[in-house]
Amino acid sequence: MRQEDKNFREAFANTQVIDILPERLQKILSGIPANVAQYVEEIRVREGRPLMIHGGGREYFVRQDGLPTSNQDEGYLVTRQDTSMLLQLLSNYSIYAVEEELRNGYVTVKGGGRVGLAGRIVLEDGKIKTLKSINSFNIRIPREVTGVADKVMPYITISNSVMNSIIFSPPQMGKTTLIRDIARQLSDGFSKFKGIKVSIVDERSEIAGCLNGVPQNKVGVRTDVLDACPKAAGIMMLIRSMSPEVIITDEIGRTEDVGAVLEAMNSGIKIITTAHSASVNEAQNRPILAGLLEEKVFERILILGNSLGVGTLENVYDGRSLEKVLAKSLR
Amino acid sequence: MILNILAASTIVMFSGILGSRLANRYSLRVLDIRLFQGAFSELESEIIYFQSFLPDVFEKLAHRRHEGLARFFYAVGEKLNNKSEYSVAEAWEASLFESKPFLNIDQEEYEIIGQFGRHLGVSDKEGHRRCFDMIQQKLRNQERKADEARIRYEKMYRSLGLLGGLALALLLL
Repeated sequence: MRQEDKNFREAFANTQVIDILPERLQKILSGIPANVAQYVEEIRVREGRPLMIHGGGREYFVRQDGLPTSNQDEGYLVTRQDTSMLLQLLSNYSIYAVEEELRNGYVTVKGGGRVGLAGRIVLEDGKIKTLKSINSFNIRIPREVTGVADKVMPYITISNSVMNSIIFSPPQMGKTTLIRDIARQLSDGFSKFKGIKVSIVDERSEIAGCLNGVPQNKVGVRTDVLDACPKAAGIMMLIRSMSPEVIITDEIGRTEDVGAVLEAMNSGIKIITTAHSASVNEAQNRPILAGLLEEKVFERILILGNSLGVGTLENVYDGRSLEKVLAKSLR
Repeated sequence: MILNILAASTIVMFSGILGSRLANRYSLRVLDIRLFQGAFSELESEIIYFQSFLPDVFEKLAHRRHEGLARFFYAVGEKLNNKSEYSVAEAWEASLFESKPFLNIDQEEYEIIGQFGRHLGVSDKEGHRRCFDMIQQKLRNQERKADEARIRYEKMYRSLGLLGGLALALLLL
């Protein structure tokens, strides 16, 4: 491998996302200086418009030679051929095999990266049937953060057992990143905690980032993932078949989810889950979450926020007494 | 005299072989069309029922005994697996061209099969189903035509080779 290519790969966090790029775009992007490339979070490819990168709170247009610029007229104009080749590589030459993903508007690629898509929607009976004439791509470079759960683990485990926990947070505060790392640590074990069997119901393929059912993110050696499965049905399947000690799932919010969570808890399985809410008070105003809180099924309630930056652990409550367990916010 | 008989029988033998070669081409063409029909239905079920990715499908299809078809599918799969700048259509067309010497199909079939590559991998399942229906229909037509040609010409070339050889031998002696 050429040194340039190696640098390029390293700068993009060694993600396989860049493998799906057509040769021409790869060549252009490999010209991005390493100090810029290492912060790239998104590569935006839009047909007929300049190639852009976003990251570290900044955005640049990318010139033909790969140098970032703020002048949009200098940016490399993405051609029809670039986008159609990108779509072919992205779907592994098989659009029919990613129909379901197209309906959801994104495709997961090897390495856990995700590519968001936009184009023309085809409707059938008022429902989205598929996406056509795809011409906008948002290639997200995954930057997995292992160790974000370090601060949380002491609050959700006692000796070698896990407590039923729910994490409340507003959007974009790192809920998914956090439970992914919790899954990894419970599964692999940490300090004195011996690894246990973990199952994940990953309805939106965000926790494990599965490709053909194989997790692309680090979710631990004792972890089984039901990918793209509705939460309630998934939890029931796992209880019956995978004998997990803990089930992890994202964003509960429907009545049937609550039923499944209770069923799991009654089978002696621990649950760790999340929900959209900024505080316990706010959660108590949402009928479904309020029901869960009232039943006092969760032993721990964790609140995420951004008082000390994204992903701050603002508070930890005892789920039964609603007393604070955490003295001050942690990051 | 002995020499004459030897020469005559050599002539008859060679022209007989030539005749049967020409005749064989007709049945080989029918055979190849049928094999392509089989391969296309395999391709169809891989795409529509198993939703396998095309590079893997071609790798699988390359495991067949017929040299021409094996070479063809292997070549397409290889081009796609190497993530070269080939689109599916281009990989398909280029591979068909490369394997043509190992196939016994006529220009008509060559074009029908060649054009099929344009639809491959770029549409949804429904789109593929239609394309497969179409190509199978076309190949059935070609098979019928090829079979008619075989019935008409196979015997003729075989007898022509033998009789032509005899006539030539008589003339020369």
